[in-house]
Amino acid sequence: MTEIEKAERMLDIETLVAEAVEGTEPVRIYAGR
Amino acid sequence: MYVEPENDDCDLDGAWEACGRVFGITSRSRSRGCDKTIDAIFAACRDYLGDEIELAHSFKVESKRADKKFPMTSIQISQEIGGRLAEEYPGTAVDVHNPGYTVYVEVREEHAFVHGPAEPGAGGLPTGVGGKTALLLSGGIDSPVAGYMIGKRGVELECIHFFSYPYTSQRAKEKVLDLARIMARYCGRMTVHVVPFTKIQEAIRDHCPEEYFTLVMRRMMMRISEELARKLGCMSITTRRKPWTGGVSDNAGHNGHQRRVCVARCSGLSSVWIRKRSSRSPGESVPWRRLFYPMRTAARYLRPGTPRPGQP
Repeated sequence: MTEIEKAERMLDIETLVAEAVEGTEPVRIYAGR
Repeated sequence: MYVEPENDDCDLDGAWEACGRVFGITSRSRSRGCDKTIDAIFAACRDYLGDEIELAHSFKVESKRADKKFPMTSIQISQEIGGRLAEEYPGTAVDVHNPGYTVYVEVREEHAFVHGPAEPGAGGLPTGVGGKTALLLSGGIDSPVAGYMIGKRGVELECIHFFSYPYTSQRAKEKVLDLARIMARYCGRMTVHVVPFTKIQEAIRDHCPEEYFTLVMRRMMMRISEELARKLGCMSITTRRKPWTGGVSDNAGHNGHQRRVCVARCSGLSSVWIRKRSSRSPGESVPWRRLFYPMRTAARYLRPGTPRPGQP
């Protein structure tokens, strides 16, 4: 296990990523407006 | 490609400026259309370009005849129009080798067009022909430049912005959206995906050693970006910095090329980080040579330990 992996091991990475993806807000940007 | 005004109220200057920002257009000319007769073409040249011809010390006429049913060849059109213009403007000489001004005549399928020398367009490739990329967009100047550069290569953009309210303000988010609006003038319409990042930052603060904050945060950003990129059908992730380094080491160690665009292709279960390793000091990156590497070439530059495409 690398140092960075040790630093991350307390994080629930999968859940955090899934929640962030789920909570993403799309904002449409139109050209010329 | 023709841009024709629907009526006299149209903002032709605005259309002209907008055409200069569209990727894929190499040059543009403001022209006047006329009937496909030699008299109408001459009249259009005289009325539309007369002032420029008169001001130039010499001129020539170049013709293109896309409609092969037109009774004259391109050379005959140039000779006829050039001769008539020389009579009309006796103070301006004809010089086919080093003309001061060139009149262009194009005989197309429905109309003929006359115009002066073309002005350069934005160049590059039309948006979308290079697939789609997920661009990590911050509020700085580097990421929009990265987006512009990759957009110019015909790649459609899906922007990703990490928003950490209240640690970053609503104004910071508006600034990012304003940057995206400026980019959209060049790269076409796009979507900015605003990712809520506060909870992740707080989790990192609570559970990770302080010296790894930046690096862990960036790794989380890349994980989320990769997930979103896959969901949105993007072929790559575009970021202004090398994705496996934290901002601090990036800026300190590679100051000379930190503004280069780098691309990580999504492939199978894991990303392929594309970088070129130095043969003299293995493990250290060298300045980026190209924006894109073909996948076969990229496989040679895989980060040690990264699963290759198709491998678990």
